[in-house]
Amino acid sequence: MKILILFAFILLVLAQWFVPGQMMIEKSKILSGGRALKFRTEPVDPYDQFRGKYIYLKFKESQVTRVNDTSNKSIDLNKDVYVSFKNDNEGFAKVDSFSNLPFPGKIPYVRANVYRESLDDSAKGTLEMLNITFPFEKFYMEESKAGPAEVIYRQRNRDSTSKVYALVYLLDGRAAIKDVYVNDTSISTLVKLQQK
Amino acid sequence: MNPSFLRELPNLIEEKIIDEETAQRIRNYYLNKPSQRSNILTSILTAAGALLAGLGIILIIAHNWDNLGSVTKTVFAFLPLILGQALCFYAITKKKGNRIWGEASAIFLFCAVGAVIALIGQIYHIDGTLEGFLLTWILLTLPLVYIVPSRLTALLCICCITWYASLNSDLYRSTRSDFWHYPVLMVLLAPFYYKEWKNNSSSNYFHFLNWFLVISILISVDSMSTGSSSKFPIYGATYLAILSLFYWVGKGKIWRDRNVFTNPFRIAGTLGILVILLWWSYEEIWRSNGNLFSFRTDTDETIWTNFRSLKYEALLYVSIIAFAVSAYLGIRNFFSENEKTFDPTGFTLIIWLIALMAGLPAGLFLINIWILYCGIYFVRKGALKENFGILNFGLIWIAILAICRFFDDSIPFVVRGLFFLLTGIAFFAGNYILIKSRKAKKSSPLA
Repeated sequence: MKILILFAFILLVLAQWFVPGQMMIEKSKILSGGRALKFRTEPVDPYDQFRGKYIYLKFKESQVTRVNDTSNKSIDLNKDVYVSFKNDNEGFAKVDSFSNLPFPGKIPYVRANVYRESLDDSAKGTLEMLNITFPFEKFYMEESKAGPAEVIYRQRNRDSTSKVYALVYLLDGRAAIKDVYVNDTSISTLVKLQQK
Repeated sequence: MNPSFLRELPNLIEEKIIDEETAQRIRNYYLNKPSQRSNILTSILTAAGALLAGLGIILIIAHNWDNLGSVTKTVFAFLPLILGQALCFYAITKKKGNRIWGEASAIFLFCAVGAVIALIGQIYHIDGTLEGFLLTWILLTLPLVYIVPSRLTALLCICCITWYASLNSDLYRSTRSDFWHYPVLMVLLAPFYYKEWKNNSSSNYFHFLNWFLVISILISVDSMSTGSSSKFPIYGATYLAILSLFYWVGKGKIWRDRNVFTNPFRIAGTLGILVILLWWSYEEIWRSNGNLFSFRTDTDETIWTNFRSLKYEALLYVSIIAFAVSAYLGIRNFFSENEKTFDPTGFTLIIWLIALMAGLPAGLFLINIWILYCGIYFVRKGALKENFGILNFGLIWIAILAICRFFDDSIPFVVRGLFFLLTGIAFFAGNYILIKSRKAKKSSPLA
């Protein structure tokens, strides 16, 4: 009996190591083998104040308006939805297409929650707005730095001369955020410079 | 040691109720008896200590020290886990049977597992959902209940499962595939509950466990919905079915001669049924919900179209099972206890469904009469058993109905006045007659 309990305990210990370990391995796999994309950010709601230990990222590509043709109707938003990306002229990620199945080959894509916001009847067809929740919207920082970082993030996003973006690696529908940059400088470096 | 009782001993000897020898034997008995109270206190303090220490470590590491590299941070994140696992290992191998060691180490490990998942998520910017986090935490710590074994971890798991279920209670989602998570997670604790029920059903812990269970189930009813029927008041039916089940379970043998506060099933069942009945005794509720389901509706949404949409609703099956079991318990209770009157409270669901089908105003009238009838049942039972508690509970039930109807404009003043008057008289008369009959029994030499 005692051996059985010990055996069960050892199994439990292994499981308790395996889960966080798996999270780390997965993350490093995406960072090493994934494709890097730059996601332009937008200012967050100003009333959405300091969140403590992370900055909440809002992306320009989180809202997509498009013509809802017959092929788009075949996407079932209650099932898993995959979003694929391509680069725009400036080298930032842009939503390319949606699918209920993973994309083949080397197309960068991610699994995300998508819902329809509104439908608008126009002469060309039906326009639909899709809201996408990406699995990389939180960027954790030390609690003394997350506050100033969020202020920088908000100010620079409103300033049209700065380019604020998150560097995200994508691999087989999974994503790992590397860092947040303002004009190619890491946001934590900016906070450090400001705090000096 | 029971000092207040021992202090009475000299008086008892003086009054010649006990002799000196008996008094000494009583003193020796209490002197040698291991004190249970101090044991419980030590357990509670140790458990609280372990919980606080665990939470403290989580907060310190959660600061996410920026100066440390992610490898160092990761090592620190795993430290509490290693410590917790080592403590549990020691408790299992060297301190087997020592409850304090088992509970404290298991609680610490419980916190440490939550901490390590959250911290790894933070260090590596893994953007998971709270639901996913809670589910992982529950599954990685629930086995501690059986392996260590730890009873307090079972309570913590019930809290986390309830939290997880409450996050799934989203009424606005059209289809839900995770409706089965809550019952399955709770079933994982069923063998533990059965063991406690068989071996420790008189312990304080068992009463706590029951309170946690009852509150958890009542909070989590929503999460078991598949969300395919928003209009039919299936929630009302499910709550009534579950509360009826609680009511009959609470009337079972195991709780009969115990303090009422150790019986959460009875308390939740009775009060819950009363609250739902009172809620439906208001005309406004019927105007906004009830008439939709009556046979006499002008729209296409008759009760049958609603029933058809219900076949995909998991709550329908939850209510059917809960009510079938509760009806069985209720009927068995009637025959085995040889009760003189049939207890109507636990069968409220049937009346409620009939009332819904009847619609306004008959259904509303039926609900009001039913509340009155349940109240009268308790009054009568109290009188027959000569129990002031039950008698006055019935009277309070009727009085609450009277107060609710006091503000009802549609009932004439005279009728309302008479109802109040009769309730008041019933309070006096009921208690007076009961006191008198008790006195008569005491003075009668045959009693």
